[in-house]
Amino acid sequence: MNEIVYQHWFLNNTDISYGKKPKLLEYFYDSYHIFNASKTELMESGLLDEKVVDKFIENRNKAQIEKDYESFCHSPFSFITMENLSYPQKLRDIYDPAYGMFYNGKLPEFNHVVSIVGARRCSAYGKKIALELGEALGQAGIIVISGMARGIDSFAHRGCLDGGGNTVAVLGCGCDVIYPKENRLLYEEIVERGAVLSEYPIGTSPIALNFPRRNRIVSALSDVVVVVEARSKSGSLITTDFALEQGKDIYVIPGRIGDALSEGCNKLIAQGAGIITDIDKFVQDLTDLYGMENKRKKAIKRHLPKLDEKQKKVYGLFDYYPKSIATVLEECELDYLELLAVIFSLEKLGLLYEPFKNNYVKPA
Amino acid sequence: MYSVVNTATVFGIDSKIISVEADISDGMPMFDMVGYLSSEVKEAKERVRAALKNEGYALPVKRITVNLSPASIRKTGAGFDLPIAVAILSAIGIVECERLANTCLLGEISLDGKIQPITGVLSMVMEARANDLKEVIVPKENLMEARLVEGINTIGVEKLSDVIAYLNHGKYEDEFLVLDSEENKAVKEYDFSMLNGQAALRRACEVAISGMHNLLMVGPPGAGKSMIAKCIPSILPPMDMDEQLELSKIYSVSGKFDERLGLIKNRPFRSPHHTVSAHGLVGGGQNPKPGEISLAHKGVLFLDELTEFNKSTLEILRQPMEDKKVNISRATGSFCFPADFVLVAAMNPCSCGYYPDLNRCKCTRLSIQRYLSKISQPLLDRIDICVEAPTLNFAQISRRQDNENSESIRNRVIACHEIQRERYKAYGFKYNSQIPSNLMEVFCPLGESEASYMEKMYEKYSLTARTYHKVLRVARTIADMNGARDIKLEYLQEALVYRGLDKKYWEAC
Repeated sequence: MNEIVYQHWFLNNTDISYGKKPKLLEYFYDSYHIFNASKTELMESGLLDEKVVDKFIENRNKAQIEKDYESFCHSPFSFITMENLSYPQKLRDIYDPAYGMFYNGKLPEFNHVVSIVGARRCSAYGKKIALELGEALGQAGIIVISGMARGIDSFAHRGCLDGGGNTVAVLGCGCDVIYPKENRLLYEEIVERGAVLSEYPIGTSPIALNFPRRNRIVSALSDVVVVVEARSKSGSLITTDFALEQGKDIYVIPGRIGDALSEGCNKLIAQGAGIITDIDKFVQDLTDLYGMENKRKKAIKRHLPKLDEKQKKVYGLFDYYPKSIATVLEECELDYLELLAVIFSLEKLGLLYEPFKNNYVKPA
Repeated sequence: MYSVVNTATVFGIDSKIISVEADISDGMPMFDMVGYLSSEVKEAKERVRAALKNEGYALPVKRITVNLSPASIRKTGAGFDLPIAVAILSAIGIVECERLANTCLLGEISLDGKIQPITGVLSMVMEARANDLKEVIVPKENLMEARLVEGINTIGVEKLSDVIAYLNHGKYEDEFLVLDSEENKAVKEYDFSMLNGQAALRRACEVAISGMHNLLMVGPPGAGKSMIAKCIPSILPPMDMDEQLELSKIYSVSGKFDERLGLIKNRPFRSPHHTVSAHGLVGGGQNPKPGEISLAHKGVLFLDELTEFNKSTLEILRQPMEDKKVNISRATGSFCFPADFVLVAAMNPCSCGYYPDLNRCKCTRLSIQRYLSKISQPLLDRIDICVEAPTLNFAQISRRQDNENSESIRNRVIACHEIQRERYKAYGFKYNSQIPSNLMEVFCPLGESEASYMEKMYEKYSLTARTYHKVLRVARTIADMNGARDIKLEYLQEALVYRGLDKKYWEAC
């Protein structure tokens, strides 16, 4: 029987915890031996309880694992384990590595990789930055990796895809489970142009427990971790903790003092994280470091179009954070209809945009 | 001996004339009452017997039968005591029967013969007049209310003996009653001049009332939504006589009529708590009484904390909002209560109240969605204007401003209503908010550039046919407020600001 069947079986096995699998593999050399190990041998490894061993032995069934593998072969998914030479070296190097991973799509070479993480409930500003950063990296040919969660994660993937780059999503559920549901289209596109991967078996539902663990894979696969927006207690900070442990560089998008969504970012700056002040420069530095040619065309600097007095005044009242028309009306001395006309004209010029009803933001 | 007396009973907000017949004949001594009576009417027997005795008239030891006809109408209320007593007095020959043919009697009697006030007098006296009765005898406390109806002689009585004295000898000292009109004015305690800041909200209120559009305010707690809602009645145009009478009738039958003030001249402002039941809101009960929407007739129904209302209670509003009246059917009959109100609602954008301020709002997307889903789309569709109320900072609150007062806003509103009345004379509706969709092109035509602008906006805001028409109706109102014949681009822009709560926009990120 092909050894791949044993690998598939061992990757899918739920009797042994995720953390124990690599250790067991080290002890027995490969999954074939694990499958054929006797109870005494398993007990001798000192890694498993007797209860676990009994259950493990009871559940392994040769006919069944062949059948399982057969049906897996008909699915669009693939998997890779530590026993395979092409398993990314970056993942082997970390503390608590994953035995293997299921994936959908095509695994790229994880050579030039930046991960972008951040708040699920991000601001319009965060959305903008994530999209632009993703796009710039995508254009430069750098792989963007993130978690395909709502908010910053999704926008980073989206930006990268728009920039024509490859992107990889690491999920906290089975790699066939699309969570959140509205990312259906994004999922399809990522699969087309990169990969969606997960260490959890096919069909695992997105339970909260799984998400912090997958962050170690996000940071492990990347060279640089960029935090776009994070509250003071954010899941993104778990990723940066892993990144520090793994010796990766951390960069953050700075935020204003008193802005809850930037508290986490600013804290990281205080601890010595790198600061991104200019997306173009950041990408340029990365490509220089990698010795790549930056294929990205420099964004043409926008010059403020000629504005009349009223437009200038109203433009000045808006911010990089959504501000409602009603608030601006209180601050300016214009008549309601006049103000609306000015706002609409600024919007037409591309100097304001409306992230949600009657709230306007200056594009970053 | 047989006698018959007229009285009336409230049926919905209207009344019906009821004949009270009394017959005294030989037989087993008993006092029997028939005619589809509710229990409080059945109890009249005991009150009447005691009152007559205490006034010095003993009931004859004979078979007394009282019938209230028509028997098909259920009789409720305590107003039958006096007519029953007088019918019996007439049957035993103390009061002349012929004397009563053109008289309507209303009133409750206490055991010592005092006449107690009742509810719904206004409606009943109007019915008496409509039935060509010449005079109506009412409890003294209700005399002022009865006098609001012109063209019928009204007598206020305090005691049963007064009634007998009046009927037999015409003895009645008329009192000159003065309406306390001063007090009627003082009721307007909220005025737009009291309101600092919130210019956008003020404007939205004016637009809403100018076209009688329903209004929804969305904002964090403490932004002044309730305060501004309370100011709205002060900019509503005055009611004409028919409207005042109709509203007073509704209040009279619900026992909420203060007769010292005369007819209700101020438009009502009703603000039921969100725990209100379905029957409390639209009216109901075994003998249906008007609910909050009818008490807000010709005025404002303010629903604060809209999301906290019981969902099924809110859904009941849909039909009355379309028809401007509510039909309630019971075993006792079908009742129709007028309910022509402007709905003003206020709500928070999310359960903590601070969205989209991400510094303060801690709600997840799911919880926001759940919060918003408490209001159904059909109800939102009936609300033309949706406006956000931002939090005010200290400077805005404390700034002593020369705020425009309600009087001048009201004058503009009246002028705007006049334009609409003139335009829709031949079409059977009154306000811009009521323009039917098939007449949209007649009343809201767009120029070429405006049409192409709206085409773009239709895409951008993913409008639907219905929301598009709402925008046009509001734009029509704004044009009328500016005295313009055509709907210009800037009016459309403003109307788009008021477009409905778009659930998509809650997903800012």
